[in-house]
Amino acid sequence: MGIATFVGDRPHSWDFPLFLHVLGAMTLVGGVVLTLFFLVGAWRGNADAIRLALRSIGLAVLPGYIVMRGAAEWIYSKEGWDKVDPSPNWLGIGYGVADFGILLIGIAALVAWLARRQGGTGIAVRIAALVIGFVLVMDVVAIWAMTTKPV
Amino acid sequence: MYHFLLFVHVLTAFCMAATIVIYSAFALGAPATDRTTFIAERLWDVGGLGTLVFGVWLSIYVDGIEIWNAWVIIALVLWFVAFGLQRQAYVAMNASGSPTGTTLLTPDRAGLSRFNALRALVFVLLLADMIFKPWA
Repeated sequence: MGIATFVGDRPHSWDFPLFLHVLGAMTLVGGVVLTLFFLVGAWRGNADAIRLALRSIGLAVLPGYIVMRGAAEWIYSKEGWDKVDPSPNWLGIGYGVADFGILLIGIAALVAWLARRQGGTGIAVRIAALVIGFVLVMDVVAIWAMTTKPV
Repeated sequence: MYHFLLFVHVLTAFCMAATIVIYSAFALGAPATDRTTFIAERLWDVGGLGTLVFGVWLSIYVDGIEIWNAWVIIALVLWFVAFGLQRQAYVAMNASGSPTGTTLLTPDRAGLSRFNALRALVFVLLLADMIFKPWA
């Protein structure tokens, strides 16, 4: 069931990379929520909110992603998953969400940046907001996969 | 059942973290309306209640974890400290009174920065306690 891992059978050497992984993920998800806030604000007519959305991607989403992704590699190696073939599904979901998610965040940032250059709050902002909203849904799926660990 | 409890417990912790990130943006000067503050506050309420209820539930449900374990007691103390700091951050956030609609709030930024930074620190300690489980 995985309870033993939760209770404390996990070697202490895994704790710090796991801590960094979760802390990075929380910063990332918080940044995604904040970015969505600002993009919805831009969608509703506040053009200056696009600048804040781009800033929240730069100051919260990207640093959180780097810490989360780097620590994921660290704990992946420590737990010995690189020697397991095939990898379990929950790992695949995690990697998929992380790698596809950062691509979508990059696309949303590019679209928002272009919208800002045009000074508008039109369709481009809506696309960026929808993409970031989708990333947030993916993040919830990743949290589900990381905690429930489906085979 | 265990996995469901753990999932909701962790998901609600992410809600608390999101509130801290949002408040950090406000503390750094991002404009805040009463609507965005309201949503951030509700995320904190849902997160706080969820982590507490499902965390205590887990401690009862899972063999090997007891509510009187040192790391669980530390977590409960930190949780209450975080909620006290949230109250202070909320007061600083709404220092201008209670505007309606999309009126911009004019928070006490010094107070907001101080209490939100302290809350973030306590939250990180809470996360560390959950993972390192001292004296487990």
